[in-house]
Amino acid sequence: MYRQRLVPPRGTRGKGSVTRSSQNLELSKMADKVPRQFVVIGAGRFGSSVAMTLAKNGCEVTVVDSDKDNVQRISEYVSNAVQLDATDEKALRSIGIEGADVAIVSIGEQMEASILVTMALKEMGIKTVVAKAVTETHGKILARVGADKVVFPERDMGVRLANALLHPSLLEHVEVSPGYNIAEFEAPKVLWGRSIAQSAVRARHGVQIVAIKRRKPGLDEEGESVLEEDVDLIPSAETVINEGDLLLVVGREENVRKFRGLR
Amino acid sequence: MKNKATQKKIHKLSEKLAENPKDTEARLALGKLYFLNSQFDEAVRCYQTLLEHDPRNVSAHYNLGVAFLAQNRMDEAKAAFQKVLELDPDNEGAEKELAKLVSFPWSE
Repeated sequence: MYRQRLVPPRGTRGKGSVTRSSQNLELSKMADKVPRQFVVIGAGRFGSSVAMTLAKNGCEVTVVDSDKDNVQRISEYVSNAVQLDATDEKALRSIGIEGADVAIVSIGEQMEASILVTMALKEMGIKTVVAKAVTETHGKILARVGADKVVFPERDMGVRLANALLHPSLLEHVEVSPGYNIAEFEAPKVLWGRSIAQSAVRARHGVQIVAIKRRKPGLDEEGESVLEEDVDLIPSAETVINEGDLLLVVGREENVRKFRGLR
Repeated sequence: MKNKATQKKIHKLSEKLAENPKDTEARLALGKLYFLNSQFDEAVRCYQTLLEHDPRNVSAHYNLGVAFLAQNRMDEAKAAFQKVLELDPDNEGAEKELAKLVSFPWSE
C-alpha cells in the first residue's frame, strides 16, 4: 500500500525528459477527452497490466490475444477478451472495435505483427493507437505506419532504474514544462513538526507542496499491524509535516532540487 | 497522535508486564498499541523484547517488520519478513510485504 505513487506517468531526468514532457502533455490532452473504450492487442505482461489498470479505473476494455490461456486469464478482469490472430484484419474487424477511443498494441516482440496490427487499427479508423516498440528502429516504423504514440517500456524502465540508483531519495520526478518539475520525496528533517506556513515553504523555498502522502498505522482483520496510505491533496497552510511524510512538490527545477536537499 | 484511551491501555499492559515480563500475549498487544499510537520506537523495542523470550514468535516478527516499515527501515523490515517466512513458509502477509520491498520502484 505504501508503495503507490502519486504521479503517473513517471518521468525521467536529463536528455530524454523534454520528449517525455511533451508526451505527457499530449497524453493529458487525450485524458481531457476522457477516453473510456480501449482495445488492448496482446495480453502478455505489459498488455495485461495496461488492460487491468484501465479496467480497474472503470474503463471498457477489450483484450485480443491469439493464446487461449492468456485470454482465459485476462477475461476475469476486463469487459471482453477475445481469442484471435490480430494480424488477420478481417477477424479483427469482425469483433466490432472500430468505436474504441484508444487501441494499445502490446505485441512488441513480434515486430512484424505489431506493425501490421498498428496499420490495420489506423485503417479501421481508431483515433489513437499506442504501440509498444522494442527498438528505436521498430519505433520509427510504427510512427511511419500511423502509430499516434510509441512506448519503449524496457528502455524507459532502464532510465528510471538508473535514476533511482543515482538519486535514491527521489521517488518520482517529472518535468512538467522546460525548467519546471514535479517531484516526490521524503519530507526533509528541517520541516518535521512544523506547519507549511511556519516553514514558509513557498516564500522561502519557491516551491509548492501539492500533496502529502502519509502512512497511517492500523490493524488488519486478523489483528496484525498494517500501514494504510492516506493522501492529503492540496494541503492547507496549517498542515503539519511529520517524519516519514512523502511530499509531492512542484516548482522550478533548481528550487525543487534545493528543497529536496534540505537537512 | 497520542490517544488518551490508548495511553490508558498501554499503562495497564505495562503494569501487567511488570508483574510477568514473559507474558508474550501482553507484550504483543502492547507493541500493537504503541504502533497504533505512532510510537514506532517503543513498538520496535516491545517486539524485540518479546523475541528475546520467544524468538520463534511469528506474529512478533511480522509486526516488527511492519513497525520497521513505518520508520522507513527497509533492510530491517526485509529481514523481519524473511524471518517470518523462515518460520512460517506459507505466511502470505510476509510474502506480500517482502515482494513489495524488493520490487522497483523501491519505497526507500
